[in-house]
Amino acid sequence: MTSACREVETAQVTGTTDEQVTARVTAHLAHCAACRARVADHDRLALALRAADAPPDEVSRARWLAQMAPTIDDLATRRARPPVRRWIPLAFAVAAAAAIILWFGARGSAPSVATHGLEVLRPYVASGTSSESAKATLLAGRFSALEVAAGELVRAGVDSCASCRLTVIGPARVAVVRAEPLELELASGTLLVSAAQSLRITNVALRTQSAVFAVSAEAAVVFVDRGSLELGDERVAAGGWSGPVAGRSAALVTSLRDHANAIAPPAEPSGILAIAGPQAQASIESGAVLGATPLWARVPAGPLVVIVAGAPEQRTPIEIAPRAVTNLPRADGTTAAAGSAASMVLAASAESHGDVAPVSRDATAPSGDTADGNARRGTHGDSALGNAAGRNARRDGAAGVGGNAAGGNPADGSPADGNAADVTVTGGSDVTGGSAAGGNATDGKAASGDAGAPTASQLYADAERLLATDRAGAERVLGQLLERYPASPQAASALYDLANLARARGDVPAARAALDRLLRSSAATALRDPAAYLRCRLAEAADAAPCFEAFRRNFADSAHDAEVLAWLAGHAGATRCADARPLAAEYLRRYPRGPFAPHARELAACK
Amino acid sequence: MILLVLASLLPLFRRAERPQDAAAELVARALTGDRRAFDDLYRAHIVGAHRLLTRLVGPTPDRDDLIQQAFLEAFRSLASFRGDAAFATWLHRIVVHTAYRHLRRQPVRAAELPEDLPSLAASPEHLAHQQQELGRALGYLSALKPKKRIAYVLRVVEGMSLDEIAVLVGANAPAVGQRVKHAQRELSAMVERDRRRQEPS
Repeated sequence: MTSACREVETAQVTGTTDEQVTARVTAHLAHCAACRARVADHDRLALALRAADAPPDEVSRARWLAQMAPTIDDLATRRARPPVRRWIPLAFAVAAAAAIILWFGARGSAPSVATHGLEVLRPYVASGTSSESAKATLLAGRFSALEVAAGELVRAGVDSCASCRLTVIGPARVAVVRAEPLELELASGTLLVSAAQSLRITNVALRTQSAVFAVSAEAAVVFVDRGSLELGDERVAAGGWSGPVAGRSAALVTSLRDHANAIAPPAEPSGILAIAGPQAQASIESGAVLGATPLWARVPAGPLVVIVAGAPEQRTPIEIAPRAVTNLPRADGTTAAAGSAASMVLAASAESHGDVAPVSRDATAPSGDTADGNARRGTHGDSALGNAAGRNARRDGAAGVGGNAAGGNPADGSPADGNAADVTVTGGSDVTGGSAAGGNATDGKAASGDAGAPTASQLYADAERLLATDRAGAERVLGQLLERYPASPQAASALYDLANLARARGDVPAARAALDRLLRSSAATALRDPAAYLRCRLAEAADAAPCFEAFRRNFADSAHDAEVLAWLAGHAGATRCADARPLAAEYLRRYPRGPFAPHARELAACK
Repeated sequence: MILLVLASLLPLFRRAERPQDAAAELVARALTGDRRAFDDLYRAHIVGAHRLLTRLVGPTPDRDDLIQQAFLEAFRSLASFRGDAAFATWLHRIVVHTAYRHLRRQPVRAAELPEDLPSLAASPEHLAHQQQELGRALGYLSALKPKKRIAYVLRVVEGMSLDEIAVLVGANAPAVGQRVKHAQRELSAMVERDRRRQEPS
C-alpha cells in the first residue's frame, strides 16, 4: 500500500474536511484503480447494509410495546410509590420475623410447605381436540395442578404473579408447590414460561428471576429465549440450551416464540372466543398469537379482528360480548357448539375472581357438559413436540369452580355454590370434521372471466404497492394473482413474496407451502436458487441436512454455497467428526477466509 | 416588571422549541411513575433505535428481543439520564451496548437472511439480489470482532464522526479511528479474496 493509498484510507476513516487533503485524495483516486475499487467496495457494503433497515411496521411496534408492558407497568408502579424511609421496611421485617418466631414457638412445630389448595393457575386459552366442555372447564377455573392431554395446549396466567405466564403443551402435568414465590413442579411434558419475577421449578432444580424459557421434562431439555436461569449449578443464558442434544428441537423454539407472542390474560370485562374447524394457527390483528384451532380463548370484550391462517387466510372482524361465548364462523362452515358449555363459562365469569373450594376426590359423570377442576379426558393426536399420543391424561388436585355439573347450572351468570362435582369430560374432536376450502387452480386465465379483471402484472403492481403499508392486503392480492393466473410469469414472484410474508409473521408452514409450490412449478426463474435456499432454512431439523445437500447438487454456483457448506459442516460436526472433516476441508479450500473458516479449521482437525 | 415576566417565560418557549427538552420532560414524567410517558418515549424513539440496531447486528431474528432489551434497560436506568446529551444519544448508547453484548455472544458464523423485506417497492428479483448482497455484507461483518464491527458500521454506514462514535461506544476518538481502519483493511482483504476466487483462473 503506497503512502497515497494510506492517505485515502485515513481520509475515509476521519472524514477529513481539509481541502488540500481532499484534493490530493481525489487526484489519487482518479488514477489509482486499486484504491477506487476499495472505496467502491466499502460504498457497496454500506449500501447493502442501509437497504436492510426497513422501519418496523405498526404491528411489530405495538407487539414489542405489548410484550414490554408488564415490566413497564412494574417500573411505573415502583416509581409512583412515595419514597419510603429506609428503616420502615426493616422495622416491618423485624416485626414480621418476631411474630413468626412467637407463633411457631407457641405451636412448638416447624412450618410446613402447603402443597394443596393453591388455586393459582388460571387458564385463558385452551387449544386442541378436547371437547367444548373440557375447554369450558379449563377457562372457568383456577387450578393448583394442570394435566394437559396430548395434542393440546393450555395457556395460563398466575394469580399470585401478575407478570408470569405459562403455556403447557400436552401430554403434561404441572403442579403448584408454592404460590409466593412461585414454585412449580413439572412432572411430565413441556412447559413454556415467561416470568418477570422469581420462579422455581423444584423437580428440575431450575431457578430464574426474569426469563422466558422452555422446559421439556421428558427430554430433560431447557431452552432460554430471554434472560437467564440457574439450572442446578449451571447458568443458562439467553439463546442457550441445556440437556441432551437429541432432545433439542426447533419445534420447542417455535412454540416458545409463539408463547412469547401470545395474547396476555385479559382484564375484565372479558368474553370467550370459540374457534372451531380444522387445525390452523389463529391470531388477532395486533399480531398476538391465540394458538391452533380448535380453541377457546378468554379475550377482552369489544371489537376484535381474528386471523386464521390457511389458504386463503381468514380475517374476521368480530365483537366479543362480555361474559358470553362468541363463535367465530369459519369459511368451511364449522362452528363451535358452545351450548351448555358456554353457560358454564358464563357462570364462572360471573364469579371469575371468587375463591373456589378444593376438591379432593375423583368421580365420573356421564355427560361432558360439566364445569369442574378435576377433569379427566381421553386424548387424541400428536402433541406439538411430536410426543406419543393416545394415553389418557388426568388433571387432578384442582379446584372446583363456580359452574356446576350438567343440569345444575343456570345460564344467567350466577353460579350455584358448592356443587363442584368431579367429572369426566369426554375427549374427541367433536368440533372438527370440516375440510378447508380448496383453492382454485386455473390454467393461466382469470378464473372469474371478468372482462375488466386486472391483469397479472396489475395485480402484482398492486401487491408491491401494498407491501409498504398493508402486508395482509398484499398477501390477499398475491393470493388473487395466483388464483387467477397460476401460470403467469408473476406467479413465481408472488409465491416467493408470499413465502417471505408468511415467514415474517411466523407462519412457517405457509412459507414452506408457498416455496414448495414455486419449486414444483416448471417456471424458469432466477428465484429458484433463493427459494430453494430459503426452503432448506425453513425445513424441519431432521430434513434440513438432506435439503441443503440437495441444494448444493442443484445450485452448485449459488451465492449461498459458502453458507450452506458451513451449515453442513457444523451440523455434521455436532454428531460425527469424521463426517464433518471432508466438508470443513472443502470449505477451507473454497473459502479460506470465509466467516466460518476458524471453526472449519477446528472441525478439520477434530478427531 | 414586564421584562421580568418575559424573562421568566423565556425558558418555557425554549423548551417548546427543543425536541431534547420534550424528551427530558417525558423522562421526568416517567420518573414520577407516569405510565404514559414510557409509551411516549418508546413511540418517539423506536424507529431510530431500531434502525441503528439493525445496522449494527443485521436483520437477525434476535432483533425483536434486542430492541426490547435496549428499551427496558433504558427505562430501568432512566434515573441515570442527566440530560447532558440528547435522550436519543443516551438511548443509542444503550442500543450500541446491547448490540455489542449480542455480537460478543455470537459465534463467528455465516450471515442470516434478513427477516424483513429490505426494499418493499422492489421486484422479487431485485429483492433477491439485495438479499444476496446483504447476506454477503453481513457475512463479511460477522468475521470482524464486535468492537471493530460497531465502529465500522457507525462510521461508514451511519456516517457518524469519530467523536460521535467515541461518545456512543465509550472510547476515545483515536481508538475508534484505529478500529475503523482495521475493520476497513480486513473487509477489503476479504472482498478482494472473494473477487479473485470468482475470477476465471
